[in-house]
Amino acid sequence: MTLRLLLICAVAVLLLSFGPPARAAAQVDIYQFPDSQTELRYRGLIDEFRCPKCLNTNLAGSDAPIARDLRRTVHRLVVTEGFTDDQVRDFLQERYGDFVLYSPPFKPGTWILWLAPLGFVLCGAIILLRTVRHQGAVPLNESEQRRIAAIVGTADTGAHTEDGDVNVEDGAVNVEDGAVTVEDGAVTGKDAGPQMELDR
Amino acid sequence: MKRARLFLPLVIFLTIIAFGYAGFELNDPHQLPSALLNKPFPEFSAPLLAEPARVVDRQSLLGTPVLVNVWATWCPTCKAEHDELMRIRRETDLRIVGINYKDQRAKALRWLADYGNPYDFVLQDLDGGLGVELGVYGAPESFLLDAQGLIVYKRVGDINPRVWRDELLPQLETLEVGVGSLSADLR
Repeated sequence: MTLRLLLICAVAVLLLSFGPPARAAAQVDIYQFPDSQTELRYRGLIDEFRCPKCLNTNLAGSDAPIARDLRRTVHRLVVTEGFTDDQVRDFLQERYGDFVLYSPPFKPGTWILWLAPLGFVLCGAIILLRTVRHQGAVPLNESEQRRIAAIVGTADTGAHTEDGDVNVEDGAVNVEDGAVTVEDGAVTGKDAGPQMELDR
Repeated sequence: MKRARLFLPLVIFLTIIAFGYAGFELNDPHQLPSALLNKPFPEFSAPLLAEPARVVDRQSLLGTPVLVNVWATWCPTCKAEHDELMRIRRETDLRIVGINYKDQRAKALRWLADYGNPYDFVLQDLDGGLGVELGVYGAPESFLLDAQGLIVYKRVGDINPRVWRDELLPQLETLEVGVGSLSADLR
């Protein structure tokens, strides 16, 4: 039960981490655009770049003078010079470096940035798997022992229940992972089938 | 084996602490690595502060190594570095060119008259357009160019005696700029 909850939480966190980041928008410039398509491109672009002066605000959300200059530059490049989005990206990256891109390119200096989350997920998965596997061996409680004894018929069959193993001389009963398997059907209990599962 | 495992959380905790502590030693996150380092100084044309009718271009920076210094009267750190620029001007052969960044002409001229003028000439960048070409995001910033106009060094922040000794002087030695006996003694 707790295991299922854990899994649900893990999946939820994963899904949330892929959602769009929250972004502020506080700019008040007034610019002319020839059409709404160009304006949308401009808005998309200033949303995409990081203001060089303010560690974690995009161009659209920053009131820093440099952000205003760069918005004006992006407007000029898009409207007057007719740059494509990629050309605008290259223009800013050439001058301000990878810093202005919120998603830095994959290269020797940034591989740890890109691969670390994957590593964390892998570590988590390994720990989760190991935990699940180790949960198997749980000793039977008293009532379960009594039921086992009833199933195998006699009380003095030499059942060793402390470590969850029940060995019956004629016909072996193995308790593993909560399942009781009776071999050869050599069970004298009244309504016991050849195989049954213990409900825990 | 089992007992050794008990120390795992402690080891993880100490690792996190070590990373955090190393973080204190890292550079100021406001200092971005310059994308223009080891690239040619971009083409430009800009009016002179002293004579706005005259427009100069990249050609004016070539021939000898030059320190291009971005400054403004609204920038307190520029005032702090001004004395060091004056000293460099007095004692060395290094040519200094200013870019007056997003400033008012009258104020800038006043500043140079009051505090002295360490610059060969000063370019006027009223709207910050030249600054954008240079990847400038504040003032002061300085670029050291070799005689061919290649940017060999960039400094975000003020030029002070420590920066001069540790960073500029070694560069100037490579560029074979005469630094005079006084400046060399600073080492």
